[in-house]
Amino acid sequence: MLNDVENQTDSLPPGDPRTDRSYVALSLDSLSWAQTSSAAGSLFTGQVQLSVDAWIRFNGLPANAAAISQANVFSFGSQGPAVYFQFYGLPIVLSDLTQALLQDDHWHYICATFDGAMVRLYIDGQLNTGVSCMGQVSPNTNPVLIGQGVQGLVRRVRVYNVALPATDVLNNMYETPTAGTLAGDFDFSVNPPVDRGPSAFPLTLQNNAVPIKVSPAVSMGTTGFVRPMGEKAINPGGAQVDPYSVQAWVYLSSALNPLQAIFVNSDLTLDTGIALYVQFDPAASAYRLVSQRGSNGDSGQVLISSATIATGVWTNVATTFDGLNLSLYVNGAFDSTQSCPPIPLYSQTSDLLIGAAIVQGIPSGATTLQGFLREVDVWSRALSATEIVSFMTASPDVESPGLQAAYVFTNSPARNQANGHPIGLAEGAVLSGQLGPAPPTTDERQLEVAETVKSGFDEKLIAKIRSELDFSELHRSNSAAFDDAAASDIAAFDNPEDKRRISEAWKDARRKLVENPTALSMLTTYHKLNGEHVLIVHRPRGSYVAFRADASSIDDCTMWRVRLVFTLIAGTIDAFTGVGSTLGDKAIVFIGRILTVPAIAAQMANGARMTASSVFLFLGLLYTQGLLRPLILLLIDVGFWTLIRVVANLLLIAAGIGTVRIVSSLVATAVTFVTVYLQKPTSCDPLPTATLASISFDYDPTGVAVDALTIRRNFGTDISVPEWTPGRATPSDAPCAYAISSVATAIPNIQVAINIPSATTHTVKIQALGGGILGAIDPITVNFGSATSATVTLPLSHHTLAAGGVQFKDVTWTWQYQVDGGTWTNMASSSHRVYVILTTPTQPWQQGAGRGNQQLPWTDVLDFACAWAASATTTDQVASMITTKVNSGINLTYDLARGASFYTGPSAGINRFLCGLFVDFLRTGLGNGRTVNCTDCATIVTSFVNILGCNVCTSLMLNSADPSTGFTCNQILAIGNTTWAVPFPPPGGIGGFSYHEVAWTGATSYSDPLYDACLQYDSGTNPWGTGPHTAQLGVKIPFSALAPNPTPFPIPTPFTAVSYRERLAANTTLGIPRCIPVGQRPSTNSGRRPVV
Amino acid sequence: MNFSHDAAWLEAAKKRFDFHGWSQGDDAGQQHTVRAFSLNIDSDSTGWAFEQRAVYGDSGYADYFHRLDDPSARAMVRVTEYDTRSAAETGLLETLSMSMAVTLPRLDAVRNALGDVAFGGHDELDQSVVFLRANIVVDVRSIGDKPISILDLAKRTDAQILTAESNA
Repeated sequence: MLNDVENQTDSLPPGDPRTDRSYVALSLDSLSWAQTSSAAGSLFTGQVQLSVDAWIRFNGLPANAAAISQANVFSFGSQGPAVYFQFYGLPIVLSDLTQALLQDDHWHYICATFDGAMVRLYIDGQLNTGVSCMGQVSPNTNPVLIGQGVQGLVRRVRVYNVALPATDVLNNMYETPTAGTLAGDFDFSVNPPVDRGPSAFPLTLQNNAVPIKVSPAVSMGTTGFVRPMGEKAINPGGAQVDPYSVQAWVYLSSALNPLQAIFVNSDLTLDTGIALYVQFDPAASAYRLVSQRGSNGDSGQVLISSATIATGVWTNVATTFDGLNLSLYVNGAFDSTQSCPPIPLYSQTSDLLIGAAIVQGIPSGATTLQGFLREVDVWSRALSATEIVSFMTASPDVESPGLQAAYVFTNSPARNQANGHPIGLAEGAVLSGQLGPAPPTTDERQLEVAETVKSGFDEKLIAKIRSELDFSELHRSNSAAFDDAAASDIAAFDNPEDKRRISEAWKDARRKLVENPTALSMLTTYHKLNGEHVLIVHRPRGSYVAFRADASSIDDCTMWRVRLVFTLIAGTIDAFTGVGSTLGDKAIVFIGRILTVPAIAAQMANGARMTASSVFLFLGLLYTQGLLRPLILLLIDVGFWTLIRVVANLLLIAAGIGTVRIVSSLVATAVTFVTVYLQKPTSCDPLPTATLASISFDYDPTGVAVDALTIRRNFGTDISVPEWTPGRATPSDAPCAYAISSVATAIPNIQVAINIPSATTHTVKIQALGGGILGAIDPITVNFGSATSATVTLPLSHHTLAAGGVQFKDVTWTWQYQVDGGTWTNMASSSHRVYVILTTPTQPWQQGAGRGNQQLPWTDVLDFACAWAASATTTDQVASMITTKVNSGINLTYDLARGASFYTGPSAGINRFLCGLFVDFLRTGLGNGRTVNCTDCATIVTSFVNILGCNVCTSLMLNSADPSTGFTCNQILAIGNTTWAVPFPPPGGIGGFSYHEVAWTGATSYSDPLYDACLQYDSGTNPWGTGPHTAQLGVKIPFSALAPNPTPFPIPTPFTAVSYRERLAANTTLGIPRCIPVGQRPSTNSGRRPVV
Repeated sequence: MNFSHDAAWLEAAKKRFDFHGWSQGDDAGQQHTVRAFSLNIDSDSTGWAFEQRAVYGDSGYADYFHRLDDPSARAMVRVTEYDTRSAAETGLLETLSMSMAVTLPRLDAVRNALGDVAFGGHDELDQSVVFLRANIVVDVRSIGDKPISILDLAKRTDAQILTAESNA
């Protein structure tokens, strides 16, 4: 489904065999072969030039196997991991095992050439060895055999009437050989196989030789499974109601296991996670698709398809969940749906497994998929029915919104193509491919031939440009740069022979650049012609237009940067596979994204010092960032079989080590890069030589260092450290928080990471200007040592964090670097939201319990709390300001119907603050609405003041003698109301509260001040009357200045005490004496409800 | 009385809301339990447009709706499923205990056939209803800027639980 064959599948009708990414090859066991006429061996006399090549995959490397042979004439094939060629009666020529080895289960392109005097052997397009070979062989009438002794697959065998030069060998790996050079072309990629050569020799298959269809896929074996690695964030169903989709191509080959898992997230028996699997239905004697949420017990939800899943065929299966409805699709057709409640348990991180289910904590072989998986895509949204069909037939782009994972098993190594993370194959799971009978080939479009690049450009003009190429002056005037690059490459190797080889490669590439540029394996030139950007690729066999576009669509500088990347990748593809590359709009956009990756930008800054080793490093960087594969897919336009060979080859190289063979192959690419680099437009800013990689505020998780507080965004989203990396453009993307109590006596530090393109002996300093209350950063020398990155701890020496009380400010730093005391150069601008609170937050907020702790202070809350208590410098000020804001500044109103709580709720035995919903109300007016009760008000005040460093709790007053009675009240102004009234008046109510809850300080007893945002009372001398009233909000007021049972009673007027209870409760035996402080409500974390 | 334990609150709630007078169903202990009940309100026939579903508590969820003709009229339906009817009764008591009103009007026997046990609010508009049906507690509230009766929504919810119960 991933978009690696988009160009192919788009043009093919549904059901076309190539849409399933399969290919055809000849399957052989050790006793079978294909046979053709003896005339096909007529060239093998030892007297005339010839070449022979083959695409072959061994399933067990035999001691001796012949790709093509004729008894008593010649043989070309393998001996163990070596390639060999032999004229009958002459010495055998064996490949050099120190250069390359044949491997099991890998496609190899092997080639032998004979120029009349020497046999040369090539493996995968690279020259391996050359050995003198002189003699004569007599022809005979024995048939020519193909694949004798081979146990594996053969796709193509060709005989040439010329000794192919090295460049043509590489070219012929994937592209069409030069006309007239072929004597035989035995094509086994079609059924029946055919000789496409000029003689059209007949082909017959002997014994068990049979054309088969191979569908690249992962096989789980009997008890295997696939484990995505580093994918904790890909967590469908983890948030209980989060939307998701999982779509997969699956092939069931046996009914051994009643339950066969496709994709699971968590143990099937736990009340968390999701699963997609097939389950055998005895009634139908067939499998059905099952989508599960939570456990497979009573508490879970299971949707079973009405359609059955057949064995022995590829089937596209999908499940979607939109937050409410769970749905199933089979082969793109909607199957069934049901409404589902939330998954019972929240799960912060995933526990993914593909091809087997987790049972009792471990992958269970009893649930292993008995078959194959080609691809599993995971989305963070519910795909529509149209999208399901679309992504079944034409794969999603890796940039598709919501695409979290594309686990692709059609080539090796398997990866999540959406983020580049690796995938582990375990317990016998292998990327073996699914084999089946090959259908007869009826459509010539299935024949894979390389496309000729057609640009519509004037071929004469291209030829003229090609003929006029001249880089001699460029080379002469920049010879020092070339010298440096070559010397650097040579110095990277210790072995004298390796040094010689690299040196020769540089000399050869530079000589070609000066004397005959088109002899370079690949060269790019740029032209602005008739208002168009034109990028031309020159190869020894010809030139073609790789890109043309209106000049106004891309500025010159961008075009130049794109050329740099294109040159590196296209040159590498050419160097190792001979396949030509082109640029398209999508590739341009993708390259633009690549250039924003700091490590890659740093590599590009090598500029005229680019070496072959640097090219290899660049490849490795792209690979580790997960960018190499999609870029290759965007640059080459070939059939699927070729595509996966090219991608696999390049990924293997990029993931490996830079051997002398690989580095020497990249020298020409480095030379080409330098020529492009030296053509930098004058409009282009110089590439930075130092880059700011990251800024960490809360860099010390132990809390020992004086750094920022540990905070998170909200319940579901943490804030990763470093808080700032390139691309985080807005202040809220890179927040930090400080407590005045900490920074008033010690200077806090931050840590920044700086990258440079290569190790340097020069002195690099950095500084930051601006910074607002964080202050400017003084110049400091960065010690890189021999590395290309360094992390430095910087004191915020000029901060003014403690000067303004509680606040949040958006600040910006302008980061600069300086080399050897020169001028300061801007390297980045970073913006931050800085929260300043009084002291370390108190419960429910926590510190130091790991970044995953959901009770860390939320910036979603700090955004409001810091604004509501702006400039406050004491806890009393903070509590008063926030109480006032909650009471009259955010449009809350009392629940006159029930006096019910809207923003608290139970979970796991604890009553919690539904803080996320309250923040939603503050931001959007939605959430659970504006209606609240006293518990809500007390909880909001407590949470919002404690996050700023206060220490209050919600606490209760009620009739402790009989809590079922409540206490009667005076006329009050309930929150959001403008009419004085007793709450819940008779006859329906008692004219009072069953209980009342407020934010309270200290021991929450009589003399302890409290804060009540829920109501206003009469502060006059007769609070028990019916008016007129003097409204006052309860802020920092003691519960009562009187005794629990005041005397005299009723209390006489005028009443002047600063005392909360007497102004709230009625001056009767049903009021004041029944209003008793009783402490915190149980199961509320001591009146500090945890936030959710 | 020790208010540091939930039991004291539940005992008080039993008295406040006449627990002993609650209907125990037609055949106490023999009722069906409903599993994985998922409310499904059709917007075309009810005029209530579904907004989202959020998790509520350990075994419940809250569905949010607004009127198709007036988005400022919103409602929330909290559905909490318990293992048994008895546990659901305790759940209803816990919900009621959070009410600052000492008592609430009964709805099941007085004005409306709603749930096995149902309570409304002290308002005239029926902005708030909490009821018990089988092993499920449903709390329906008007939460928009514009107050609105949610009785229709509560009855539709109750009807769907009854259907699920009969199919159990």
